[in-house]
Amino acid sequence: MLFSLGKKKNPRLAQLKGVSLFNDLKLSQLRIVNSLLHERNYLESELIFDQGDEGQALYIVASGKVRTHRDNQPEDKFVEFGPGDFFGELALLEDAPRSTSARAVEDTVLLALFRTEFLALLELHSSIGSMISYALARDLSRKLRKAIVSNENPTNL
Amino acid sequence: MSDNQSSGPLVWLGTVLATCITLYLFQGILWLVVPILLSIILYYVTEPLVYRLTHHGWSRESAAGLVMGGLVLLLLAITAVTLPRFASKVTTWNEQKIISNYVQHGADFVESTLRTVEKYVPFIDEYMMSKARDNANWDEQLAKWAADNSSHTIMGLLHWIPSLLLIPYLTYFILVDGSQFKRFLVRAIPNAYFEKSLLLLHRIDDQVRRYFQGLMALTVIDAACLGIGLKLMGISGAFVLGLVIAVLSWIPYVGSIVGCLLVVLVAATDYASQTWMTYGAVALFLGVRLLDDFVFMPMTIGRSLQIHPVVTVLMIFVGGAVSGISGLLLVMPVLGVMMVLGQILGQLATNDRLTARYQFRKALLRARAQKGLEA
Repeated sequence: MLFSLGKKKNPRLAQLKGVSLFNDLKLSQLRIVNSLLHERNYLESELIFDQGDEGQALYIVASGKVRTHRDNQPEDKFVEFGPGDFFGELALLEDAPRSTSARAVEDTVLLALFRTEFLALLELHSSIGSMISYALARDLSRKLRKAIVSNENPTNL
Repeated sequence: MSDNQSSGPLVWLGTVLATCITLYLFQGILWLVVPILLSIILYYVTEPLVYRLTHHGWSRESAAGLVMGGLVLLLLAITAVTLPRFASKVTTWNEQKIISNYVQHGADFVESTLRTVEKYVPFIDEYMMSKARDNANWDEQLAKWAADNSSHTIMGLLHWIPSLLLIPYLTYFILVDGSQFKRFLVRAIPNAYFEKSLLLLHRIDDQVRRYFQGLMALTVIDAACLGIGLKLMGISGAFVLGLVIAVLSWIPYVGSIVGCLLVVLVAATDYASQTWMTYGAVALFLGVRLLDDFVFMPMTIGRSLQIHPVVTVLMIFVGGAVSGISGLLLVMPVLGVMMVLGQILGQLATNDRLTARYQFRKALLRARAQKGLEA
């Protein structure tokens, strides 16, 4: 079928297993998550989103490299994300403007998980949703602790 | 940029033009358009059931199969019960001139009403009323036309059966593969517009879902109210008539007028000598319409399309002029879809930052394509 993902062995699933957000998920659960992701290809230097945009999706780096940067900060102050990392996670939790801009440093493949689809996942497959939520909370807690230790503003997460 | 900003006149003009062109093009493939449209409606109506089953551990495929299979079995059972009765009636309709009989009684009711008006309102010019009444025996002509065309109309409806059989089949696949198909289509959206477009699509999907689910609930409530009321009055086929009128009211304004005419014809035939019963049936119809407008509709669908009544009426006439009866039926759903597309395209095209990002990507691709061309 033209748009079917089918049930054959999918290399994407192994890739998703390596993402900290989905570490605890079983293969069958990863298949469900995979059916919700949107794959997007970005060119080197292409902007992914602007600071202040209405954030709606979390992005997982499948390949390539992405930098996030706040507009009012020096050019050399950025966070870099590689394969298996994810960014824009606050968009899954609240309907708020993006706190940073994101740009592809090299040709990059991203997987986008939309908030509406994540909320549907929480309702329909609550065990998967709760595992992802827990992993998300763990990641945010780690970032918060790191920001406190380095005396950084936690809103820069 | 606000998502709620209203569309400008250019977007509206484009929407109306696109609606007319689409209706014109649809005329040739109505056999496909109607089942697709009804499948989408059925998808939104059955989706909550499939969702509940999925929630209880069923796979999407088996849940959709169970719901659609159950629905088909139910329809087959209803058809098995009603078809023999319907077929025997159809064969006797022409012999007994039932349709022309209904029209004749309707015309008699109109005539008796005119006489009553003349009796109680003497200042109305009796000459004018009588002239209008006697003018070329219009009631007899109308009855003859109805009798001549009834068999053609029934045969025309039977031609639709193969197309309508597509509906459960299409609905099943929309239920099972709809989200994957949507994802496949979303791939075509440029990166710059991707997140914004998907957000708008989700909102529209939510709005359309609520509209169709509300419409179905409204139809059931309308059909039940009219059916119970007509049954209490002793009118034949009360619940079928109630259901037909409720479905007809899907066509704004025009549907209500046709529904009222049906009530008059049936009541005037069932109670030919008791005119007040026909008035009672019309009063019941108007009562249900009022309840519909002020109680049921706000409770179910609200006014989700948010189209001005004048625009609605004008577009119904435009739809009728462009593609006849199919235009009357399809104009509102097509206008709704075109409005949504117009709003999305309007919002995306007028966002300078998104346009700049799209052009920047194109420039990056161009630069990459031109790399190494110069000596």
